[in-house]
Amino acid sequence: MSTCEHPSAKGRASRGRVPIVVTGIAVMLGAAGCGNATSSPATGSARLAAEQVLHINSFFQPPSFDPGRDPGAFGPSALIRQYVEPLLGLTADAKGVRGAAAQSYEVSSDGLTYTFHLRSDGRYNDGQPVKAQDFVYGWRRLLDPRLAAPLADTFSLVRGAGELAALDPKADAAKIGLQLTTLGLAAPDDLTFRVTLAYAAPYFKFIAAIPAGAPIRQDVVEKYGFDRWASKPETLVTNGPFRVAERVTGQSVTLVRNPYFRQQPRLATIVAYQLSGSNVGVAWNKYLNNEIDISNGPPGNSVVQALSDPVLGKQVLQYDEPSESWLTFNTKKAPFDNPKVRLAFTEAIDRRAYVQDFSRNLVEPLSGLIPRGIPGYDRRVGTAESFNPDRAKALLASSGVAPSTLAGIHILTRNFTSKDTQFVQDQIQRNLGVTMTIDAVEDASTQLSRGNFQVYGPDYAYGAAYPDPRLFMDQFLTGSTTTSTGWSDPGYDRLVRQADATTDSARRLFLYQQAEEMLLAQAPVAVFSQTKRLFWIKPWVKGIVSSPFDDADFPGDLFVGDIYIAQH
Amino acid sequence: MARTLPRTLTRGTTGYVLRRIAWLLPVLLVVIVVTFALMHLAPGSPWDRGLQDVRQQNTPLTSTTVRNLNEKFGLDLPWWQQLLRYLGNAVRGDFGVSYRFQDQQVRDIIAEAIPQTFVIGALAFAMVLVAGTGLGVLAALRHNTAVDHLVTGLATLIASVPNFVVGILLIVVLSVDLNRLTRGSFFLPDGGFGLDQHLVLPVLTLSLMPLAFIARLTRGSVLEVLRQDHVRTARAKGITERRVVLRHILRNAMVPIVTFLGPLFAYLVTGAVVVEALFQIPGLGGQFVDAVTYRDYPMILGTTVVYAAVISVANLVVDLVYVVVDPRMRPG
Repeated sequence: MSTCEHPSAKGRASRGRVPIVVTGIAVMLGAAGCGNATSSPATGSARLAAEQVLHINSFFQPPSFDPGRDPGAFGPSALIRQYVEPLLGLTADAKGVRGAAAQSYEVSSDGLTYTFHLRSDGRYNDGQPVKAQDFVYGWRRLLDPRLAAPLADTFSLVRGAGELAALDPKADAAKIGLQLTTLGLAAPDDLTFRVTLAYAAPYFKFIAAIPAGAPIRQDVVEKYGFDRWASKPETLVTNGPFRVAERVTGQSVTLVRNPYFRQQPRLATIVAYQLSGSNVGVAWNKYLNNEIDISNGPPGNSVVQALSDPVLGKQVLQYDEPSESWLTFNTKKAPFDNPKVRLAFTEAIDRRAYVQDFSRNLVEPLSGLIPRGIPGYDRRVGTAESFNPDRAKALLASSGVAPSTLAGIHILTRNFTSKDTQFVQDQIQRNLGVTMTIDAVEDASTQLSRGNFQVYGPDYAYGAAYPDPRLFMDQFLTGSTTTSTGWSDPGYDRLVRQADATTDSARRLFLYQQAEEMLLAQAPVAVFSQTKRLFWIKPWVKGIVSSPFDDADFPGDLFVGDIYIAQH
Repeated sequence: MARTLPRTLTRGTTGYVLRRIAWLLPVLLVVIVVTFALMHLAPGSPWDRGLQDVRQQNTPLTSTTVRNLNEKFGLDLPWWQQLLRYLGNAVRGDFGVSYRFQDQQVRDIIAEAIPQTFVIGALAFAMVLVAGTGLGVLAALRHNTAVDHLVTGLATLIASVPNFVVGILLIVVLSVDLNRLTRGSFFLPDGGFGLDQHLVLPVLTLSLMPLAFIARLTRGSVLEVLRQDHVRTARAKGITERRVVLRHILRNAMVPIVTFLGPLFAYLVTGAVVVEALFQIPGLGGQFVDAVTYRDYPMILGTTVVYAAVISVANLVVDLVYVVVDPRMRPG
């Protein structure tokens, strides 16, 4: 038995939060998740303002307020997360899980069955109790091909979900209903929800924390429509700390407290404006004019100015994000079909110079595949492949690649003014004496998917949806469509697949690290940098407990109950 | 003026109006077919945005999810079936479900957006009408004075600057700089959050260019009327200058301006696309731009149809006004 407390648990304990109790295998992984969270510059004790209203901007507008149709696991779900509560939540250090709609869970010894014990005081915003049957219905609906849920694949490790996913919503319509009843989902009683997996997956606890897996009431869906029940605030019956009070499509969403939620948040209202992502300047102006309380900062180079501003500089909150960018080599095309050439290029780039000179400190250098903040990160991994121009030259010389082949290398980019690509071009020229031509194209994604490139980037490559190294490692499994390297290694596949299913956390991380070293030694990509979150927060916004898996516009949204507005 | 219309004119005009209204249907049909074809010919799919990660960047959806989405929204059907289905539904007023806001009907989103666009358009229209004609009359009555030179000079300057430049300048000066200078005690918000004081800058931005145009048009028209015999006669009769201006000058000078009001209204409604995007106003223009960005086919079609209808109706009104004010345009 293990207890994992949130860093600010002392203050919240008085408000009755029950710490999660886990047993079995989850003890080891869950206990590792206790640590310190990043706090905003605005934390500290302060008197509450009379009006507890937080104004934020949310660039991401959910395609549907139906949690089952959410296209993002954590980051983009900020709004949805405020009005639904899944079984579990992430801990503040984003390494483990804590209780949410379930106060505890058990894992069977074979790692296949998860039994969640729901809180007895869980309530929807219409006062009805949350029942295990609502989770069964919600998860069945999520996996139903007729919903076409973007995250159905993430939940497809539930027993029977693979067979269900194979059914065509039109051609196999008659079979879907029957298949839904055979899924490994059960509710032995009102407060027990049992999930049986098709295979052991120690990361399942993180999937149980995704808002898409929130409970959904069958009576509500049947009354208002399978696809329409979440279209209006008055029909959106959910179990989170807030409820949607008003929604103006494309303009704003207003959330107010769910009066039946067991622990009332300090904020009475959250107003999330939905300014378009293409117009960062408008959001920044609204921050300067005190119309919104949190901003991602000004566009372009004004960030540097805002960081050094005597007033604005004190409103900054910055922390690592579990996402990274890399340079992609096409291992199917010369000269990058030669691992020595790939390694030479990887080691010829000075990432520290890039961070200092070009990135305005919005990224950190990274050499390994698993970034900081994700279990398994080891700062020593990848150092052998980091900047070493002498070794890079020696590697290139020993590669046996003809100088004529090296003379005609093209580097693909989607950004016509990409300083990043120009930086790489300059580094390769300076440290390897190889001249590359930059091809800036609009349809870079198409060219990548067709393999019509030699080297691409560096570009934002991947951001983890939850804190598990498999998300990064699985990208390079044979057959993965998320990278365009064409690289494949049976040994790597074997190690990663073994690690994916291993329930012993230490053994699992060891296997991932072995696989990571194997990959870095062959360099299908040159890992470049890790992204950082950067926010400006008004001094009167207090109690932000940030997490790498926060929404990209809303720091502290995983622990929104702690946020309050101080008198100002 | 209407009192003097002969009965034959009203009969002929009714037939003319009905014919023009009947022509709206094929116009809208062509607009739908062309828009439908362009949307589907453009590379990419509505599902390209895929899954969103922590940075709200995209990773591709699985092929199974794409298949399910295509079947759910009818994109698995041949293009001609999709078009016929759309037309059949559109006739019943059903413009489908948005791909971007998948639990919202396109008609509901448009119904929410139209007031934003029309309020801004109507306020800009009123401002253009009052300020534009006022300045034009003032400049004409003070012909070749400093006032005239100031009005014509400013009008020329404003008419030659695109509204997105004007908008950005207004935001910088009246919102950001004013806020800084007054330490937050007075400034104009830069739009986007509601139909209140947030409207000031967008309405100013939208109206300045047509205002300048109307001012110049009015000035020219008034100057022309000023030189006519009936004005000289009115003054010779000893009528007060105020009465001469209002009854004898303005009334006649308004004819070319009135005929311009239809295209002006259409411009203010459709021209709001840039202003709405700049000020983040979720009106029809903002929805249209976002729909194109997101390849939200039903929203693209819905907003285009509304725009086409607005422009067609505005043109119809203009033609009818012509019929009333210009005897040469009367049917029959």
